[in-house]
Amino acid sequence: MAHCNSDPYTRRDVLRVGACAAGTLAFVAPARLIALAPPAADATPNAAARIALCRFLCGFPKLDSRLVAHAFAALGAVDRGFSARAEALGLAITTAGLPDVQAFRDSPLYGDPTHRATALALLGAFYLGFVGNGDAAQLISYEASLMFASTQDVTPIPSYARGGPGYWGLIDVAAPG
Amino acid sequence: MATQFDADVLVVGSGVLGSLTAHALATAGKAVILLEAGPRVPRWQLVERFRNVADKSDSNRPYPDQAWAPKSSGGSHSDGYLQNVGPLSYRPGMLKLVGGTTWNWRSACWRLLPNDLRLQTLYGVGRDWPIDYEALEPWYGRAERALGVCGNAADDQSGHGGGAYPPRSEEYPLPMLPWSFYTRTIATHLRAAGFAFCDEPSARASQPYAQRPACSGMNNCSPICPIGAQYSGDVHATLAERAGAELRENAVAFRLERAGAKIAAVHYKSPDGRETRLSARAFVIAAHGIETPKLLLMSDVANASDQVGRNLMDHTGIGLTLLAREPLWPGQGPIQQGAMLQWRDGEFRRRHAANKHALGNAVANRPVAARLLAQGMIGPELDRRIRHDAARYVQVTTAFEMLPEPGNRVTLSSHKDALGLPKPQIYYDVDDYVRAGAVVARQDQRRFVEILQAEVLDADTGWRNGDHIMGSTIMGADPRNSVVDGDCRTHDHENLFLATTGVIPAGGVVDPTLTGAALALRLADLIGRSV
Repeated sequence: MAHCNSDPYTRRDVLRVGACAAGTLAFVAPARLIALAPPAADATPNAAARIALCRFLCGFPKLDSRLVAHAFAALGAVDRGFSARAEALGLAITTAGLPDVQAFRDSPLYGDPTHRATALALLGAFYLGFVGNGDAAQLISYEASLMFASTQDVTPIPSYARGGPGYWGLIDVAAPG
Repeated sequence: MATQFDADVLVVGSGVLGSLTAHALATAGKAVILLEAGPRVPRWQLVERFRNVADKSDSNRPYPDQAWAPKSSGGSHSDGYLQNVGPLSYRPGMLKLVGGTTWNWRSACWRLLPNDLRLQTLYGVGRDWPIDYEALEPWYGRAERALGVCGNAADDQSGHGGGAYPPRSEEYPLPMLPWSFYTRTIATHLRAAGFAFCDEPSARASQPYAQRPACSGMNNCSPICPIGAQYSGDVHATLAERAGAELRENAVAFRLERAGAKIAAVHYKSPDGRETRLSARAFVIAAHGIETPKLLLMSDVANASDQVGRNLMDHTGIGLTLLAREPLWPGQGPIQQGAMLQWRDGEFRRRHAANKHALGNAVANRPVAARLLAQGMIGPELDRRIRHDAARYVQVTTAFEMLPEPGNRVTLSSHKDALGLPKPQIYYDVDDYVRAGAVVARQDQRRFVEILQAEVLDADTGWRNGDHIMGSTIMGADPRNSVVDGDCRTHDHENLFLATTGVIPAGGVVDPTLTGAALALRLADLIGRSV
């Protein structure tokens, strides 16, 4: 699976972040998560909170922490205020005690234009795999882009092999779509 | 080789047509120098660049963006290169590296129909070719072998539902690739409704062929086939070198030197501006349909007719994007497999443009995900909808026949590139012939929507380039209104030949590369026998 790796964060960890942090003043990851964060990926003090926020938004507990660092660096490069808004979004989610992204989607928070734009900017980075446009665009990932995750059992990630020569001619029935 | 010449034949441009020419002549024992404006880049690097380039919306972007040899788009040196001054922005695919623009193509290799070459005689519009299909037919066969074309020789490619057509003296060198579930399903639905859906012949190896591996359906034919199963011009650039041709990279031809009625030399610039002169007995300009007329205009040669750069044509078209009711799963196999040709030929061509509807088969996740995110969709619903929509995404591209219009033209801009050479200036528009054809095509498109019980995502794409540059160095029997004769020899200079799709005076609705390849092999044979 393209977006999976050996990164030790789990969906349960992310939920625990929400539960532990509820009622506090910051979207702060528990110590265990901080200890497990790969230091090379993001050495900023709030790296664990960023990772937790992105995993919460994507609903992918194994979202690579290095991609989170890439995304924040890229989004921060084009918008110096992005990190602060992301921190505010994380705090708001924690304060509201939202258990998952669907709850966030259904909450008044998602109606807030700033929170909504912040969330969509992060999701765009992970799903589409890049930030920005043209020569100024920055790659977050290609084969690990989440847009490929839900169809990986049916179609190739373009430029990667799937079933060998002529494999597609042997498929007689459409996969569920 | 005579000592007073640097080469027997000098070829400008190492794309598919230049490299085929150079290879044929080198194989025939001629001393050949092949000039290429850009560098040599190995396939693995291009594949890596494709994967690592952030914004993949411009398929040119993975390719070299160099100041001395700009491409048509996709980089800071290239984006301002083509200077459009007309109603439509014309920015066809153009790459400058060894192998040329066929690094990034869909490799459709159709033959023209015999009637396409007699457009004026049969339908009273456009121009006739000065040669007929029979003269071209054996060269089509050689071109298909050179490029390793797969196809279904039993198809009626005229779209009339008859027997095998157009006439061919040999089978395709490779059997057609299998159709994907998506292509089969749509073909079944559309054929049942009366549409003439047939396989699209392509330069993809359906079996191992000439040291190319078989296509593995990585669905990345454009921007780049990762394994070289799809033909690209570097194949024959390499073969030309092995046959003895000398290939000079990063050599930007900027002047053809005249000596009386002949061409005596080509002058080229290196990236640092240093100039070099090369003499030869014969010259073949194969520098793309935009750059070839630009070089002729800069050199003030071959233009007694004042037709160089004029009559610029493409297969400008319109697009349609749908979500079908049923899951069809585009993305399995190559990115394009079939086309509908019921409007390819007939008396209607007196009144409106012919058309070809082509069915895209690219993995749809990127446009699907971008659209859903733009709608604000997140969470499990986003993942569910990506799968749902990617399974049902249908793209149809409709290309139109165009007629040569002198006002559609390439000229020399007052703006200069990094070497101080004029940038190409382009005036481009579509005429009422095309607009009338679009009315008919949209009726077809509405039927596609009904047949697939589809939701329309985009039916108003505006005019789109087909990347099929034709007419800009137009072929004809009369030197007063054309640039080259039926052998692709310029009327004005007996030792100057043009190997470019720009010579095509009537291009029907099909991708012109195979026709250009056939003409290139034909002119190489002529030069080989006379030089």
